[in-house]
Amino acid sequence: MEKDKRIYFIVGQVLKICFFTSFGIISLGLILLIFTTDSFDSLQGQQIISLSWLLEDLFNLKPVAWIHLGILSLLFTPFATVLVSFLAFFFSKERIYSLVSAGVFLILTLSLVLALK
Amino acid sequence: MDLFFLILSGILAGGFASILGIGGGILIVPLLSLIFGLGMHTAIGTSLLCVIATSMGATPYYIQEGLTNIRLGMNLELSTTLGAIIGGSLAGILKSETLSAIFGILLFYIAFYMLLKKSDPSVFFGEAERFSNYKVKNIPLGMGICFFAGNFSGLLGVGGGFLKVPTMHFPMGIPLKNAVATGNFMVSITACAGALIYYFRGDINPTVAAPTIIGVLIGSFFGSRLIYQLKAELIKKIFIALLLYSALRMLFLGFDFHFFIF
Repeated sequence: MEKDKRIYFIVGQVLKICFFTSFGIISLGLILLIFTTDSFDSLQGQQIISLSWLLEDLFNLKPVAWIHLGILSLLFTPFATVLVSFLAFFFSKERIYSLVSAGVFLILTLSLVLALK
Repeated sequence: MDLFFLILSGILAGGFASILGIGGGILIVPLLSLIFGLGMHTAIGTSLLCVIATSMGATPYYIQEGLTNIRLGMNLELSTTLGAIIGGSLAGILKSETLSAIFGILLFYIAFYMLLKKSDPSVFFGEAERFSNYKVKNIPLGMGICFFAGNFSGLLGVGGGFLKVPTMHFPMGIPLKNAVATGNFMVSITACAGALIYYFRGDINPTVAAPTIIGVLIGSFFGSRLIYQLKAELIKKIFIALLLYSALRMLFLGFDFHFFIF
């Protein structure tokens, strides 16, 4: 029971941190969008991004870049959840569930690889 | 103006979803597609992001209460995420009209399921087991059904809880409250597998996604607090009517019946 409580606490905390980080970044992007765009047309947004473009525009406080960063942090939160679960099971010496978590992590990575192709 | 309406739509979808204990996807996709005129692929991709956000918002609470069964969730995710990848890839080769028609059929199914299902207050008020003090049965069967739930999620942008929760409760023998909590935990991982494909295919528009996500989060925050003050039966009836109306419109869109005016 104590071991379970520890694992659940760690996973819950990681999820909370990731949730508030993503929510905060997307909100910042949205606020920048409202205050920096004169004629807002939400149906016109840059949908494909490159890393160099993203970094440059983040420094220039471009709203769409900040929204992309928020979306990316939202998309990578499940990776963090699964990775933390794997580590928690691994250090608790639960071999089966650490293997299962590693399997889920590999499938998520496969999804990322397929998406980037 | 679009920004305001996108946030408002998100609030409505998130509010309804949390009051009725379902994922917001089945409302977000028709809203974006029918009211804002977005293509089905963009609507589905945006919906998957909203599903991840709402799941992430509720899951830490369920986990810290010990209601989520992380071990079972991970087990079932082995097949669910695979299903989501196949669903997301399949959506890329299907036409927007075909996706609309399939979504219309799914909405009909969910509307009739909700119409026939009696409200079960035990979901919110009943006893639940903490820290997995129950025996899980029929894991291979559960994994098989969850594969299809993942498939629906990737293909249509829904959480798939309408398949996962009954599967965990009935053949697998998990208390309902624990099944809901575990389903919630699984949804963000499943939706992520599908959403990655939509995002990197360029099907997600950030300026549509951001206001919708924020709206959905605000809606689900207030929805979960209003749950005890509203007449759930009345809301359920309004929701079913909305689902049936959306189902008809999605089917007409899918089969290109332009002579119907709604």
